[in-house]
Amino acid sequence: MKLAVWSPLPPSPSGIADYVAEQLGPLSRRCDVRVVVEDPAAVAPAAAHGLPLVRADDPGEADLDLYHLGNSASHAYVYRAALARPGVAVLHDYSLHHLVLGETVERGDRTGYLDEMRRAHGEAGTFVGRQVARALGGDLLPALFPLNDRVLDSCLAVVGLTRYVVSRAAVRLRERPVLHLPHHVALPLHPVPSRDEARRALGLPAHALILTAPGLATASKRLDVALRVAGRLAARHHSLRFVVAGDRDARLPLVEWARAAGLGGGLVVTGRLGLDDFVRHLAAADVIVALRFPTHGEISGALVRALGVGRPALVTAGTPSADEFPEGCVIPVTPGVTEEAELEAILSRLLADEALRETIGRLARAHVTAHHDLASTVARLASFLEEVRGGKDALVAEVERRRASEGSLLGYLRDEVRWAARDLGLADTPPEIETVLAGLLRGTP
Amino acid sequence: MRVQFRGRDEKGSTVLSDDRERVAEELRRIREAVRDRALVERRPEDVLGQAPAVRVAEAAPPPPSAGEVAPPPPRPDAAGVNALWDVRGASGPRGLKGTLARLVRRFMAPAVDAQVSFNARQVQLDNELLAYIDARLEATHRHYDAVLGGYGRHLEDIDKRHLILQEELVAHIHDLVKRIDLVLSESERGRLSLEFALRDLRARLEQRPR
Repeated sequence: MKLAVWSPLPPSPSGIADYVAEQLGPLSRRCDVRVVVEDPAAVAPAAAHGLPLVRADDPGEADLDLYHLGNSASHAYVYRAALARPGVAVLHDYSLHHLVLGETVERGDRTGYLDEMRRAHGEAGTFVGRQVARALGGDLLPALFPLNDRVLDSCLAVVGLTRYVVSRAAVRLRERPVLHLPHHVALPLHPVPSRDEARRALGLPAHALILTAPGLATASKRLDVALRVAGRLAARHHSLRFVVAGDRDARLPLVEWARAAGLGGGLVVTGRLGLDDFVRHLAAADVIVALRFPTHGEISGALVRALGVGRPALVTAGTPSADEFPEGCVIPVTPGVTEEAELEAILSRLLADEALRETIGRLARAHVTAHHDLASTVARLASFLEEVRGGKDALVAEVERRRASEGSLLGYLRDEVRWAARDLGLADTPPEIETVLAGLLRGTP
Repeated sequence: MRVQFRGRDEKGSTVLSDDRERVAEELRRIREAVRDRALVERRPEDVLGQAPAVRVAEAAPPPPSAGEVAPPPPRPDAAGVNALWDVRGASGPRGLKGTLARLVRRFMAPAVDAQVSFNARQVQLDNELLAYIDARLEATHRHYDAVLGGYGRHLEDIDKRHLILQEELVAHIHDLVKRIDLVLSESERGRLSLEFALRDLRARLEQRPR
């Protein structure tokens, strides 16, 4: 099967680029793969595994297109292609709100954004869209209005990395296939260094207690709460260090938070790391802090790696990061009013009990080794793609039927009725609704 | 709908290891202990922070008074017209002509004297009228300059207040957005927590012997 994989590749800052680069090698042993990128010259040579790189504006023909979609501007070209050439969408995030916002409002097309919000989310979408378009939407609303409607309508099948994505996509796709593909674990260092080795390599104190927040530090990672708790715990554990292993959003006042929490010099912010050092930081940690709220349906690749390294990880309960793993392999912290107190109690317990930390780490490593192995997840993906390819003609016909009236008055009416149906709790409108609407437009019942 | 799940069914059907059960139970105990002593009622300002102070413009000073209108200059005094300018002393020709002229002047003296006197007073009156008009215009200009200057300063003050109002409005709208976002987040986090607690409870109930 000729497979066109659409995704940015390293050194793109998107975590999805690393994910795809890791998958390409095993996938190319099962399919005839070429990778579609915006600029082949910008791709790190090792990331492509010697596979052909083609430009997005001249992708050529393929038996199947595989679109890796994430909620960021670096996936904009993938999004545009996914709408134009139906293929299999890998939804790394369920919400594509920021991506669509970038494609519309940030390019001066406010009306286009409001149209999309109306189409996807009805009256509430229009109301919220006006707020968001004026930059008055806050952080949570984009997560609650995923704005992925157009992609779900246009794709032949969906691959989701979390049950959160898969369960929601399945309701929308009805007759089209959906695959739950656990996020694979891939560790570039063999063997993974021990805690002591990693600390020596990174220059971290050998006997300190280290809490590590891996990946890009953003507002959604609850670092304000985590630093407050770390500050209080540092009064009892003088060697405590809080390491932010990755780059940070410049708007986050991490140093001020740490100072206010009394952590002061106990905060270490590494800046962007290469994959090897990133894994060393995971190995050097005693506990991983991987809280996240709000969620866009994503699972953190950093979290999966941390579990693969065998470190206990704190995650936000009720989010995909918690739901993808059995309790005991990860440590859920409920995000409600007790979040801070719970985080403090759990961390206090973990820091005081090395054996407990080791047990949880061992359980985590065993779980991801059994269920998130790269070779088996890629094999599963390849089988799924073969299955989709086998039914491609029927799937394309179904997508074409759904999109036939797009841009017409009939299409507009269908979108309005479809939203009304969803508002009533229905998954979609029956196909015959278009006949009824067409009759109404002709003036006949 | 064809959905291929991996993990959940296996997860549900897999017999939990003793270790994992023990860890999960331990974590559950910690959470419940926290929940039992948690102060669910929180003061709004603990969550929302203090509302930003509202910047209020100082009371605008009253527009400056235009001042008392200066009294108009006194009207020209008509009595002065009667204080005649005497030109009768002007010298005439000499000899016979002079004699004749003196005779004529003597004969015409009353009329000439009156005319000269009138002319002189007319000139004087004209000068006084010009002075009056100059003074009057200057006073009028001074008065309206003061009035316009006062209102100009007042309008400037209004502009300043509008600018403050605009900045305050923008700041408060943004603050409001943050607060709405926070309230929404609190409720969404509460929802996730409750769902998690319910799921946990359901799982424990299922494990109990029937």
